[in-house]
Amino acid sequence: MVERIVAWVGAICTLAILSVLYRENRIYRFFEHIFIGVAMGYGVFITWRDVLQVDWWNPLVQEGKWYWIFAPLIASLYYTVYSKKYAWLSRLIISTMFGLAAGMAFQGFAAQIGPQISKSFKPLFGPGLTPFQAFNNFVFMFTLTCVLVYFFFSFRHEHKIVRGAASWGRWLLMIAFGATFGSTVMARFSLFIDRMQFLLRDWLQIMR
Amino acid sequence: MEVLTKLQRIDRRIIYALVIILIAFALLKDFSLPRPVTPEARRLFEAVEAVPEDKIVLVAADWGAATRGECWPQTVAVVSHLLKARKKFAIMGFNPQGPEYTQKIAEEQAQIYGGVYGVDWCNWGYKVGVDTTLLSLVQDIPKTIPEDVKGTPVEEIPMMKNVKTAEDIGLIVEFTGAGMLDYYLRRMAGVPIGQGCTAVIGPEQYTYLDSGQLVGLLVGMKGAAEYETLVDFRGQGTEAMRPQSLAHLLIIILIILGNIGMYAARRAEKQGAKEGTHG
Repeated sequence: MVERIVAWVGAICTLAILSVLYRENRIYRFFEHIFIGVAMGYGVFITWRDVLQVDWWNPLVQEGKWYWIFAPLIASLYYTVYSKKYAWLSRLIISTMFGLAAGMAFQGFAAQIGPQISKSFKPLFGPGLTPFQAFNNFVFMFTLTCVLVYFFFSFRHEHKIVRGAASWGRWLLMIAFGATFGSTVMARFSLFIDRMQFLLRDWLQIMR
Repeated sequence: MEVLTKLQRIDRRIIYALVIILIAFALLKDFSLPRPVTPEARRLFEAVEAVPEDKIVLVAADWGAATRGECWPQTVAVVSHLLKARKKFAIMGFNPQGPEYTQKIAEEQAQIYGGVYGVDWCNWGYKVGVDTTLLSLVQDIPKTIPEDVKGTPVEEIPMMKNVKTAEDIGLIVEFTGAGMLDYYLRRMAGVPIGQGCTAVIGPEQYTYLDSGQLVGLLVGMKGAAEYETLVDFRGQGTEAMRPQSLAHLLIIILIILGNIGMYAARRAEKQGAKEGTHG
């Protein structure tokens, strides 16, 4: 019984949101607001249960770690941004967070980008390299070089070779954007198919 | 000529109706399609198989309702494999909805493949502060995750007895529709990382696969279908490949028709200009 009610509620919500495909309407707007409200309420609850209660409330109340009281006080400095008189207090915490984030970004950059740079140098010939791998590596190196040339703005692309490489770079970028766009179309269809599966299987029960 | 020029102005509602009819038909009518598996999906499968018994898999559920269509079937496929292969796993996510969805998936799949909460899997829940949490997780898991979602101290969970640092994690499989992978690559570089992502961000993730930073990759619903083939079951991903294929075919046909319309309109314009000059 509960499952049927859930299926009906889900179906009504899905159809109300999909009604925008025909045209913008009040039912769509109403359900859009419901979704935002539900997501927000849900987020608040989960943040309390999984984060604040575990990492802040329990240590403060159950374990007697009184110094955790300072955490919300320091965090509330963010809100002084609304006061002209005390706005400088917000800068203390914002600058601390900026420094922390910047330091971590520097540290993380090498781990994230380093392997990509080293793997960008691919062999074009040598022992153990099949013709297909060599061709694949050539396409990679050619694409990398041409796209880098395209984004090199320190001088005018006047020389024939530079102009040609930049032109190839632009075309290759377009192909990459095309692949991304095609993939996006696939993603959007997947989301719609998921809803159709729900409507046909869980709600109408006409699909196995 | 006038009929052809109208092809580039087909009402979008007609296109939507065609898509709906085609997808409903393909979902209701069962017909088989080839089920090829890409090397990146196979590599993820092999990475899961290779996880040592004394290590756990971290299922990072960084997705929510907005990407449910793709991330749900991917997670179902991988969680089924983990349970089937008796690989212990922990769920964690930086999206409030992800760990809840994955908990539901694990409970459902455990009824099919067997598995007990706390022994075969556990849920660390939703976490905030991606960088700081991961940085802390690398050094001390029990300190970073004091309790699971049920309120049990992590150190008291049977499967977590010997799990202390990132060295005890044999594989991270991250499911996401956003650019969360960077954080894991920065902080958990020593741990093999696999990913299931939405098709929107799929093309960007191939660079990480090429550089060896990712051990395997599932892209979109298609990735889920591939993994289902490897785990040997027909799930939501496999079922979705019929409507997905037909819908893509429709889009290709519409692109061709739109282009025919555009060329016809250009030709008509040129002819009109010519006649105007002669007139």
